[in-house]
Amino acid sequence: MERRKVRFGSAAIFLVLAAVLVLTHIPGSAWAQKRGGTLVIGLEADPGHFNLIVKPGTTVQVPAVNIYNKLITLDFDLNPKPELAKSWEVKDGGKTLVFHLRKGVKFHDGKEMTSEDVKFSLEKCLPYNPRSRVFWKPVAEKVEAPDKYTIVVRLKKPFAPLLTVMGVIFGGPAIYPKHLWKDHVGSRKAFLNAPYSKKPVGTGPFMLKEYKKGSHVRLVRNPNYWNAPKPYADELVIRFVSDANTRLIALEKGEIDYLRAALIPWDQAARLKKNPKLVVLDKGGEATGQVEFMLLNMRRPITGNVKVRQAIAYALDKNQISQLATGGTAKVADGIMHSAMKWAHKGSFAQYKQDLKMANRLLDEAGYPMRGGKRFSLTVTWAKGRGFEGLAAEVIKQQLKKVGIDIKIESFDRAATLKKVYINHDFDIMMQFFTTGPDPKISVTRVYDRNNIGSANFNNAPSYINVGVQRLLDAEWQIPDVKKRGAAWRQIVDMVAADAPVIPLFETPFVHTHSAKWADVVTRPYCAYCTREDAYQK
Amino acid sequence: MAGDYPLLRYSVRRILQAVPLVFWVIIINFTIIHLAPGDPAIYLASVTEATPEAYAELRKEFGLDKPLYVQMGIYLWKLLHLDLGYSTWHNSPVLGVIIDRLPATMLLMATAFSIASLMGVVLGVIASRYSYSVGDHLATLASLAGYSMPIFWLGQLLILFFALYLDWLPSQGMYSMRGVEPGWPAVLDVLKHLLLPAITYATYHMTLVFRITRGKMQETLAQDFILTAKSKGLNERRVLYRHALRNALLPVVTVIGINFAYVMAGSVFTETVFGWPGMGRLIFESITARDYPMILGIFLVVSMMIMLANLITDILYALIDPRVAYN
Amino acid sequence: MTTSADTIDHRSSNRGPQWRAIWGAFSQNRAVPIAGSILLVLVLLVLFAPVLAPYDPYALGSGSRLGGHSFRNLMGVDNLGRDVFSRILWGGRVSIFVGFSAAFATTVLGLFVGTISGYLGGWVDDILMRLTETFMVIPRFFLALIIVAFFGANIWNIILAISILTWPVTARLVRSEFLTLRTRQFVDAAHVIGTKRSTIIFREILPNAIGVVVVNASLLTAQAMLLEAGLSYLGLGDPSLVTWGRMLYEAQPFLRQAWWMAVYPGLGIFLSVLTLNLLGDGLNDVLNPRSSEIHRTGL
Repeated sequence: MERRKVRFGSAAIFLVLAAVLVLTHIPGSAWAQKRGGTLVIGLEADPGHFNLIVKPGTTVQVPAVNIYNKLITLDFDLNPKPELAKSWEVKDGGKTLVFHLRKGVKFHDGKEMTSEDVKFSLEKCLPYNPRSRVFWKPVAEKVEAPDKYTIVVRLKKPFAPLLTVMGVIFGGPAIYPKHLWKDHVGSRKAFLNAPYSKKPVGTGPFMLKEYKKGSHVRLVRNPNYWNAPKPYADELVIRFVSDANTRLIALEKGEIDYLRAALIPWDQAARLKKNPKLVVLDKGGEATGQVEFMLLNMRRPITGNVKVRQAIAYALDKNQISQLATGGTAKVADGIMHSAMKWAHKGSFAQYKQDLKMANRLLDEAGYPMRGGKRFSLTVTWAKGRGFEGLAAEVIKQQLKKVGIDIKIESFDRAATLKKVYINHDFDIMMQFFTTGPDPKISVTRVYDRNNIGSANFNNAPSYINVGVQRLLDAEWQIPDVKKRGAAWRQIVDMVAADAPVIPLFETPFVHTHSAKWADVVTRPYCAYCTREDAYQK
Repeated sequence: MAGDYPLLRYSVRRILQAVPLVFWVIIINFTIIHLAPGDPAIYLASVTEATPEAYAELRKEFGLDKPLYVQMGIYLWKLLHLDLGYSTWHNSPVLGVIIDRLPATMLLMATAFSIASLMGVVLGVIASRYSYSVGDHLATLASLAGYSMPIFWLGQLLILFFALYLDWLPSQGMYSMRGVEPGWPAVLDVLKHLLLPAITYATYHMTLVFRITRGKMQETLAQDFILTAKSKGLNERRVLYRHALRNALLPVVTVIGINFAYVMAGSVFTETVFGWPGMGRLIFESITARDYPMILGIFLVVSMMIMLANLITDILYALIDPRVAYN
Repeated sequence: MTTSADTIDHRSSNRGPQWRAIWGAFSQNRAVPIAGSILLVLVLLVLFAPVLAPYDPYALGSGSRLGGHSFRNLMGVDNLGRDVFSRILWGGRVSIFVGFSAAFATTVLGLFVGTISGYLGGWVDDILMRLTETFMVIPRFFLALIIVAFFGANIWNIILAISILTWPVTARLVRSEFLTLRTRQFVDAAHVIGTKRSTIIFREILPNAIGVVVVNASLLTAQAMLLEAGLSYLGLGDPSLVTWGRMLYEAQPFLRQAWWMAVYPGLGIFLSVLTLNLLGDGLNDVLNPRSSEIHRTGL
């Protein structure tokens, strides 16, 4: 009797245990995402501080996005989704936006986040964000906080891209605690020198624990996070490794758990895919949508000739460029924005299939006959730092040789190159890697806008002026209907393709790579710098 | 033997002589850096994709809109007040960033030099003891090979073999990021990370110490007093080691002192290959980010370290070998 | 290794450029002829690159991407489908050119400063030595990095940067040689006869200092080649030319897929630097028997 009882008891325990085991191993079940573990992320340089307001560069973003929250976020199709704002309405034909905030959200120091903080962040911080102010300043009229959990944004004109750009960290504002920052506003310096540059306090899933200069940043789980049970990881470590090869070895060895696509040498992606310890993704870059371009300087007599530009486009074998410069990982680009932006993308550049006869004919017509196997010389400039641009330049040189164009390659550090190309306009052809998302108004317009030829980085370096294109560029962003806006952009792409002030080469592959021990590391369309609150250890 | 008094006077004189030297170092560095195309503002503006106005504001904030001589004047004036300026990238006082990074480099250097000195001297003494034997020739050739190899190349090979293939040691960084308890496990963890970069760093200097030791030893062994000592029937090994150890100090001091400038150069490669959070990487990162105040600050600090190293070398020389006069 | 009184006498009595002594080095030191011939073969190989290289070193379709050794591609193919063997030949040309040019520039500069300083003495010496000292305490490698990074990574800037890195050592070496030689009897004798200063410098002192300079130059060449490789490794190589350093840099990501991309340029650098060092050592043994170790600096 006694004995039987014991047996029955142990059987029951066994059954319960089995049930637990089964439940915890059903993928996608609520049991699967268990807490624990340290997720180690590789970064190329020490950010110096975590001040997103004035330095929204990648190295700052990667740690900071886990400390702060935005009002909204984006899904993989670039639709806005709730974050700190649980819902919102667009009124007055797009001139007014009303956000309803989540209640009971706490900053890391225990104070509640309210509409006052949001108003402060939008009014006092955003105008100092070198990226966001570009579009924010001309359209914003005022921000109101009618009650503790409502925020009203009034615009001078309807601004179609607003929600999309507010959903990514470099466009939208992170929400900062007013009670800490209010005495540190008014200038870049004031923001930077605030103690919260280095000791950030936000509402985000992780809190800063340790910042070891030159080595790593350690973040720990925010126990009071509003989106519980997230975050799943106990700790997030962001480790600075400047050498690309060392970084990759560390990933393969398991010393680093995640490297974003930009830090994966693309020509190594195929090899990494075969490694069972790693997961190579193909998503998480839709909102940034980067494309590698050749910019042709229209101020120079040779590249100023449309026939020469078209001839160059015809002479290139883009498949070979992608094959050799990125090991075939990058898709050939056929438009002026990444194909992930489906609503506006058009592949008008596909007409330039490699056609050496056509290229030669165009060059003859342009008045540059072949003499002794050579027509003229051009210089290709690229900024040190992105190896694939150097490789691409090398391939382009060989390809253009076939139609009698002699290419010289030059390369300087980033600052010197940018000065030469964008400020002094002293170049023939520039290899340039452009972000084209999350909305073309923010990141595509700048290259073709005649009002942006001036003297800042990433402007209209080719000095491209086309009246038809200009008319569309000036109007498209006020069109609330996405279909009509998309149509306008397709027209723009057609015209730009005909003029060829730029030649798109290939699109960034989204080869974010993480350890197979982790899941859900990449859950946003801008996951070079997205929150890691969803990541959990398998 | 030199007394304390002349030594002190000598040191003070050397330090006073160094003042104008530092001044010229600053002028030369400042001019070269500021004559280059591009500036910190354009780099920062590129990172954040800033507007023309933002770029202009940055230039103003960094004082880059002023004429070069004014900028230089401001910089020198600040230096007089012991202010090395503000890093444009780290947004911290330059001195603070340098002090944060210095210990890592010092640890790496100290370890590497200990390995280099010990191994170099021991091998050097042995090689000179068995002069012109097969072993000696092999050691000499191996030592030549040691500095005929690019240091970064050696580092990469060591990583591939010991970190990736054998999986004995970590490939990069100074700390493990997971599951290390404070106290002894943490110290051990740093040591594990230290080993490969230290060996890489040490190889070059070890071969140098080896060669100098060997040469010096041969010279000494051929001298009359050794021959006399030997002929008197003194234990050969004792003679060797007594004079060896004394003479071995000189090459070690020479290598560390005279080559200090190059020692820093080696740190750029070693620290880049191994992701070591020290000064070598800081300078390279600062150059990439066009962090002018940081670059100038590092130049200044390292220049002063070089001068100090030279001074200490000379003093040590005088102490070890009284025949060396102060001049 | 040869501290024989014989060589020392030779040195002070014979005022020619010590060719016999140099020849002596070759016959006495077994390492020297071996090193010398390896170096000679290397130099000849790269010199005749246009004849020997089966492919254009930049041409893309010379073999299948990352292909291994074959009859068509003796040393395999790199990541852009270029023939590694052809690139080794052409790359060595540039690498060795950089090495020799930088060593030459440094030697000329060092000789110039060292000669003037050492012979004239006085305030000229003071000023020049202050200048040299200033450059000795600047972290010159950092300065070289800045020059190449900020002013553009082309081969001339690289040579300039390497020369800046090394000239002060050479200048001091020449100067100290002059200081010792100046007090020698044969110079005094020349003075007494009333020989012109320039004649004394060029006829009497320089030829005797040449031993130190030659040794130094061979080591400088080795150093310069290593430095070029180092700059390339940091991504600061000339983007339009192939060098061994650049090949090594390009090979880094492919170490595990295509070791041939890295091994051959590495071997090229290693062999030339090693032979140059051996040569320098051997020459030093004979030409400068007083110093048991050369003042050697490097990376």
